[in-house]
Amino acid sequence: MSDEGTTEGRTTLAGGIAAFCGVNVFLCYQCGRCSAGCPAALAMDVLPHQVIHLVKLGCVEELLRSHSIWMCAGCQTCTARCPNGIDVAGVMDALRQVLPLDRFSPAGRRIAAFHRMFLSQVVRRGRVYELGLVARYQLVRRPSWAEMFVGVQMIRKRKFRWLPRRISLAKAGERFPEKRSGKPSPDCWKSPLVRLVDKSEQGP
Amino acid sequence: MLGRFGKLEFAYYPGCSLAGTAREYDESLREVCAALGVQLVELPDWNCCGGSSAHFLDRELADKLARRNLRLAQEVGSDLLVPCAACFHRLKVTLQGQDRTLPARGERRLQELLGQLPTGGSQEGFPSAKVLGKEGNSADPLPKGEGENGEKAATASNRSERSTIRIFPVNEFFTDPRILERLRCAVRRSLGGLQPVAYYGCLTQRPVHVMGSGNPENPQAMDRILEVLGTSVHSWAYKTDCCGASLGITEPEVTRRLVTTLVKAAAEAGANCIVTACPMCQANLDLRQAEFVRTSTEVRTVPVFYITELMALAIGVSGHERWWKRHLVDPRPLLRSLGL
Repeated sequence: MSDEGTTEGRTTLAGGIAAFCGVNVFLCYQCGRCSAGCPAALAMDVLPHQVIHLVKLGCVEELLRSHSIWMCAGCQTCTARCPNGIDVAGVMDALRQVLPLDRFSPAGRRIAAFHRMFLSQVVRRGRVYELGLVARYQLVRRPSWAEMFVGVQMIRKRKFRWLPRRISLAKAGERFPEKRSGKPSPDCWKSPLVRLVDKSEQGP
Repeated sequence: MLGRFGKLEFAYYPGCSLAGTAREYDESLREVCAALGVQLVELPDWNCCGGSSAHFLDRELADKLARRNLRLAQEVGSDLLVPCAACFHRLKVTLQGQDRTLPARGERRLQELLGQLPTGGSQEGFPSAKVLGKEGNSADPLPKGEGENGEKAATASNRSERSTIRIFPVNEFFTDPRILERLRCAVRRSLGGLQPVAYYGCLTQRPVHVMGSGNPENPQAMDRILEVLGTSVHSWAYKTDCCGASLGITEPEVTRRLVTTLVKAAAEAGANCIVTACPMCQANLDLRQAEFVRTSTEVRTVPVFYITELMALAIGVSGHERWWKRHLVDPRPLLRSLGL
């Protein structure tokens, strides 16, 4: 157990989750139904009910070391089946957002990087450019032969659109400062479109 | 065929997949709706819903993206049809204003708990107090006038009455009595011989309290549509099991195992095809099966159709050849062997 598993740590992590997403993890009595139904459990080192337990205990280091939070596919089966109405998937979402991204294990950081690429596209264009997204991710991490085979098949079947599309907000919008300034900031997806959407929200 | 029915109008949010890798879903849906006299008005200048990534990493952004689309739909003023299950999920959750907050058992206990806990501000020992503090300040990501936390719980129940538009996924849309009747009348040739299993996936059924699906572990909507089309639909136990599409790019090995399980289960149920209404599920099941062909022969591949493609086939809309060409597991041998 880590240093953070103290009484102090205990209240703050579970309390932070409660403040963030309104879930009381102390309602969990460890029946394990979430883990039993979890499709991604086969790839997890810490099972969903154990994640909840670690949150209860405030074991931040253990959570950061495990890649389970990032293996969660977001299918919500756990939430649907919890006898105590705990939004387990919501806790996973909250953990992804309140724990510091740069301190996760390499597997966690890699998956997080993909989601970040996705979001940076969304805020830049307002839409996802699928070919660009897949290509960018695969270039970074060097795909296996199997992945390349699938990619070639998809191109052969004309699944992808070649060119990206933009929504009018993005067309009219500002350039994106983060784009050329070296290393992208961890919050880079938060800037342009959000601002633009904010603007339109204040409109008539 | 148009003249046979009165006009119905729906706003239409295709989403990025239907504008890209799932174009055949988009095309077949539009064709079917045209044939049934349902007019679809595509939301002008719609944006991406943010998919899983947005609510994984930044729920504020997720909320804003969905809210902009909902506003566009309110401007159009009709009920909204959202064929993509992932987009539907995001929009519906946002519309209900119940993102992350379970109204049931947890809520009251939680309010008590929250009363005793520090919210936001600097919390020693908590690793990301900054993020939390920010969340605390940005407060309520709900529309203007939605008020504070306590009020949120109180208004959660009547929020859906106040929202002027309703959102439909494809299955619910076509099982609406008005539209199902039109479909029944429009079917020209029965798809006898096709033995599908209906695969619903995750996101149109869950979270249960938002989707309000009567039978979240064994939904029936798509089965009913398939019966109307004349297929002999098989029951199976994997209707709402996850196919792992959101891990498809980052963790292909996990996805491969999930898809293998699903395809084997479909074959065991005696099905000769899988039918889905989600572009993520279709792409995932289709692509991973294409890999089986290359790597092993022990799993028999099964074509994966969009429900709208089969509707178009039954109604007799022309042009389905070009859709079949874009499937990685080619459905043409199966259709040919059944004389369809």
